[in-house]
Amino acid sequence: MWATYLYKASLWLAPALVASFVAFGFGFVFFESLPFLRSVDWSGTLSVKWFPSDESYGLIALMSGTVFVVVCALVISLPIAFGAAIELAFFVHGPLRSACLGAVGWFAGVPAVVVGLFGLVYVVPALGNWFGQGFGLAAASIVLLMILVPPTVLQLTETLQAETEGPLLAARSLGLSQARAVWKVVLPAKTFALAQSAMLAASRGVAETLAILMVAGNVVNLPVSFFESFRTINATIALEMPYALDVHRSSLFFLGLLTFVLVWLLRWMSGAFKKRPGLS
Amino acid sequence: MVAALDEWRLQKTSGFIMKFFSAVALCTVLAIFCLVLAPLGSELTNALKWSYLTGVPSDLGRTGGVGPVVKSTLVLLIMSIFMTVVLGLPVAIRLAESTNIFLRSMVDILAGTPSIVFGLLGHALFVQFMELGYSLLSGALTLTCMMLPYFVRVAEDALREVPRRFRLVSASLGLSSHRYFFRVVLPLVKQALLTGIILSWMRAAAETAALLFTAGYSLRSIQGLGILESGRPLSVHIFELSMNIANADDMAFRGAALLLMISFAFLILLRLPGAILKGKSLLTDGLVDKGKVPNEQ
Repeated sequence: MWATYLYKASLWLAPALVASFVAFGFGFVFFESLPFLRSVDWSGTLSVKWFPSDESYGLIALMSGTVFVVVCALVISLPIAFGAAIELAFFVHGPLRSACLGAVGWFAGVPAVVVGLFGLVYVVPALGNWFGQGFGLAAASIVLLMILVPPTVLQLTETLQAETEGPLLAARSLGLSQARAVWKVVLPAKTFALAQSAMLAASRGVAETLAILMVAGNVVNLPVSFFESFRTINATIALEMPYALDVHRSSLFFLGLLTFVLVWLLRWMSGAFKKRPGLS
Repeated sequence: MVAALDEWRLQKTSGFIMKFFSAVALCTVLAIFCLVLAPLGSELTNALKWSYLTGVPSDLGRTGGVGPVVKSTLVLLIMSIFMTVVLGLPVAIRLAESTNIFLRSMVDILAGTPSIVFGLLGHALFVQFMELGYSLLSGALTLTCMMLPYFVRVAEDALREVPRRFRLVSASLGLSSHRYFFRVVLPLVKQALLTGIILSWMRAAAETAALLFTAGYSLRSIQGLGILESGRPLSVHIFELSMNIANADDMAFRGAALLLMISFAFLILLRLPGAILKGKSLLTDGLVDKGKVPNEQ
């Protein structure tokens, strides 16, 4: 029957197509970055000057932009995310909990453009009024916080609840209050889960392009103050791609590979935290 | 005795501190949520006017409607969902049936790639090599690559829920494999597949950077279906209005309100049958508890 043949054919055709998309896609990205890799002066990349028109491809400013913004964002967003997740996992019950989870879930789906727009129109001018210049590390951290917190809260709520019912009930039955039980029994066993979600949040932060781009100011700069314009790797790719030529263009493809490697490094590190299968 | 009382007080206080801190954190999250949505709410009524939805943009988008944008978004949406399902279902079946490390790692690579790398990938592969140019087709293909891991993940979980004995029984009754799939499996996993589509669409709707390099940002009215023409999806429109065009902020908010409304409506519409027939909730879905979340991951 032709239908069965079609079905069976699609069963190997689709995976083949997907695999070829991945292989060819990355192959071409790598291929496009070759001109840069062949002609670059590698000692020149260790500088702060990213001026492709002058043939200077210093990566330090860009990489530090990405790293600084992710670190700052994590510093403010991890406490909030952890606190909210603990609250939702152990202290709020019933319809209120479903409502909160629904709200956070929907917020997680808000596009980065919209969050960036909000940052551009409200956060940046507010910071500008208080501190001089609005664009910069502070605004970008705040925007990144709004993007990182919801998915982290959702994932962490689920992870914190995995396999904790038994020990939690046991602790409660022994007379501990809920807060005490969570703090002393559940959380110490979940340190790896917390570290893992921190790493995942970091990988999301490195992968984020648009929202940071909209509020960072986009001057190639070492971000030494919170209110100075700076630029991340992804923002450089997004901004310079429309007009880049030849070697400049392939340097942008190289930056793409760089950010890919960074994201995967963080994801791998978060996976490496998955040592213990359950509570001790 | 006194020591026990002190210990109890210490427990009470530290317990209170912890609950207070967590509650504050949760309220902060919800407050941020309301804060971001408030400006959009005011533009909501403007966003849903027919003249806005079908009108032609003028003055680079500062006035007028977003007709071509809506059309581009819808065309992209339909094409990419279609391709995601057509490509993703067989992949999910393969992954659910047997452990296939190669395929799973391919899908994982797609899942972990940052969106801007997808932009470069789509540009290099579809715009240049396949010579599709800046078109909605290359945009849809790129979106498919991005949506695929999310859909495959949900579909695979759903397919794994189907008991193995169904396969054996249907084979013993002489049912061919494609009949088995379409008549036995599909009705069982329909709801989960719809959820997967919603999930991957929420990922795709939020996508801006990758589409910039593949679908372009032409604002012309599209003739016919215009698959091979450049178009501007809504997220790119919002981006352009806010960044590259001066004094277009309220239009940008209007577009953002529209985008959120579309996502929200899509979400609710696809869960409506389930809610009405089976009493499932309209807003929260099992996904929230399973931790499969859209957005940059």
